[in-house]
Amino acid sequence: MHRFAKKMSVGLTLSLLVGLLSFAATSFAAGARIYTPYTSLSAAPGETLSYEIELLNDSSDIQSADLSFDDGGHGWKAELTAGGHPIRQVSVKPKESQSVNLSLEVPLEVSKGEYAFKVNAGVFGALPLQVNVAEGGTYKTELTTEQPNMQGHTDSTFTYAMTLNNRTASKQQYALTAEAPAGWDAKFQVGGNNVTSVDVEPNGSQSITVNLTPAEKATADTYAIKIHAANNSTSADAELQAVITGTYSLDFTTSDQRLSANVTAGGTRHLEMVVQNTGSAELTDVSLTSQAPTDWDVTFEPKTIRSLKPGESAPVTATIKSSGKSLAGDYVVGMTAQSAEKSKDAAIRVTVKSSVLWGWIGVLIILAVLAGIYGLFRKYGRR
Amino acid sequence: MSAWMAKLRDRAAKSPLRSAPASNGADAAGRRAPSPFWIMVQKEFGDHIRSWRFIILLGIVTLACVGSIYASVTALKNGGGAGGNGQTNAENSFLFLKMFTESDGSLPNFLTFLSFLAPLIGIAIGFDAVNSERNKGTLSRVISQPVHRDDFLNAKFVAGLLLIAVVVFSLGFLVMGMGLFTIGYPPSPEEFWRVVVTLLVTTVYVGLWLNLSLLFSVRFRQAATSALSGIAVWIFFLVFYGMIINLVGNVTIPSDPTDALAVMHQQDWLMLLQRLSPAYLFQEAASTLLLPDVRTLNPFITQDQAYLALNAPLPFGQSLLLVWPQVVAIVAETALSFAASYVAFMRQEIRSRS
Repeated sequence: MHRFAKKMSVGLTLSLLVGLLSFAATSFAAGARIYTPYTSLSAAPGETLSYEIELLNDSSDIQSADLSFDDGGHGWKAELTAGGHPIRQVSVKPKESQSVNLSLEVPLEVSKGEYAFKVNAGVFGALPLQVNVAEGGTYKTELTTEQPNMQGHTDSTFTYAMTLNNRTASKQQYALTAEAPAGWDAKFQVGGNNVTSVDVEPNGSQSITVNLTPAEKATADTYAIKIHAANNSTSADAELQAVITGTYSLDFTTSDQRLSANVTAGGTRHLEMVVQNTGSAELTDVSLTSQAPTDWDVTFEPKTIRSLKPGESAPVTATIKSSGKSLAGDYVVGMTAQSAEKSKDAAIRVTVKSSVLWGWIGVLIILAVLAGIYGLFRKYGRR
Repeated sequence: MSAWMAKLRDRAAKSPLRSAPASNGADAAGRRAPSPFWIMVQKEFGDHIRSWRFIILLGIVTLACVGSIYASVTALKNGGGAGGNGQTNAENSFLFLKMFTESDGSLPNFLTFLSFLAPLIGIAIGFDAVNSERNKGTLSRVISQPVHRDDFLNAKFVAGLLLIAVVVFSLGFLVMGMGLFTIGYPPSPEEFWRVVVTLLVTTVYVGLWLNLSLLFSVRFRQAATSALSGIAVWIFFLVFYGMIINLVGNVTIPSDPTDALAVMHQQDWLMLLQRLSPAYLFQEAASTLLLPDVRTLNPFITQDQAYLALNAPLPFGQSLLLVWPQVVAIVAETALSFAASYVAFMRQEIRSRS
């Protein structure tokens, strides 16, 4: 009996031990586990990765564990949260699971490579995580524009949309400057207001509008304007291009700006005219035409101007020959300087004066009559 | 012009430094001072001024002028009268001249009155100048004095012309003065000279009628006959001549009204006929001088001439040049009619009592 009892007790103890052992083994190996679906992710610098970690309790006891994050000495910032709050310890009911969030921030200044991390959760075990940084972080400022090249006339305004990205870890204040050619005007606008400096949050961006006004006399050319956004620690450059196509403008007037002239009926009058190219592109083949009263003759010397560079002027002599039949008084003589691109009118008010010849003939007639009367005096009066 | 010459001769004769005789016979007359010619002129002038005839005439003419000024001022105050409301600045700038040419329609304007009534002054002064003296027997008494025979007629003419000048200029300046008083708008120098030249032309024009009536008074013994012939000529030119021209125009109208050349030709002929009348010449001259907007006196402005022409007033010199032929014609006609009466007078016999 004793023997049997002893055997029994040994067997019981064994079975108990085995049972205990088996129980202990199941509770450790399959009773509490830690799980997340994506354990190896690729990320860019500055990105924040978010993991949902599940803690599973298959045993019939409540399992508790301390939670900690092992950053593997990389110094990345990580936070474990549950229900919106940071968490250090977690308990899971039997046959249930709990989820915990891990947010892992890839720093901006990071080199390319694989980074390994570990989440330690006591009885739940450890969860190895791997982050693959596809390219190295910049830790600098970027100034970009989608359309750096624009075309327009001298009198148009060029508007460029630029984006300033702060890829540094701290908030930056940038001074904005533009290297424009002399006489050009560059203005920076943020949100419709003119600015000279702009604040950008770390890893933030700011849209900047650059308004460029060309110089009044800017000739047709391609102009490069450098834009700087800089402060003591960081800076960014961008180059904008403004392509000025020439404007065609023409001025046509008399050399003394007087738009009136006198002419005797049937007589001629020379007028000194000036054709000036006031545009920024060369004018070619400027022809001179006129609109004159009937039977009047207006000729130009020269009749056409072969070429006129911007800012240059050419003298033209207009000869107005009036008709002998024109009435005394004012007439309009229209003159036009015309090139293929542009034309300009000059209206000259021409005052026609009657010829005084007949006036003198009238005086002669009166003198003849008076002489006749004098003859009568001689003949009859003083005998 | 003759008065000026007479004065010049008189002054030359009076000058002691003068050595060579400029005009035959002036020496003998001029040595005696004062010249008998100017004594006769003064006497004639005084006689006219004091005569009832002249006072009545002056009254009529003055009343007519005052009436016409009233009409023109009313028209100007109403805003342009016949000119309408859409007046430009260029037209307004000659506001002062409008005093002489505008009317509200109730009475003719000053210019019309002047061209109609001024000849009457000339006729009234001259119609009995010679024949009444002849009939009274005073002519032979005057001639028996140591004066030149032609001095008698010259004195009549010069005194008449002086009187006419005084009347015309008084009326003209009366209008200007009343204009200043009523519209308070001073004339520009150009306007002033336009008015003065118009008054000068008027004086010469009235001188023409004076010479005509002098001619009649030499020709006809009876004063009534002379006056009637003067008035007949006056009425003929001012009333009937235009009607006759219209009649001629209606008769000679081209058979094809679309023939522009023929129409123009006929109109030019009619215009030439019109211009034979001194009254028409005077009206053209005076109205052109007082209306700076008139650019031509032709009946037609061709399309060629009007093309690109600006509607702007002419300067004074150009207006004068435009009517210079008319002015010359009036002066020449005046001088010729004087010459005619001179010849007629000098060839007449003067008896003590006829």
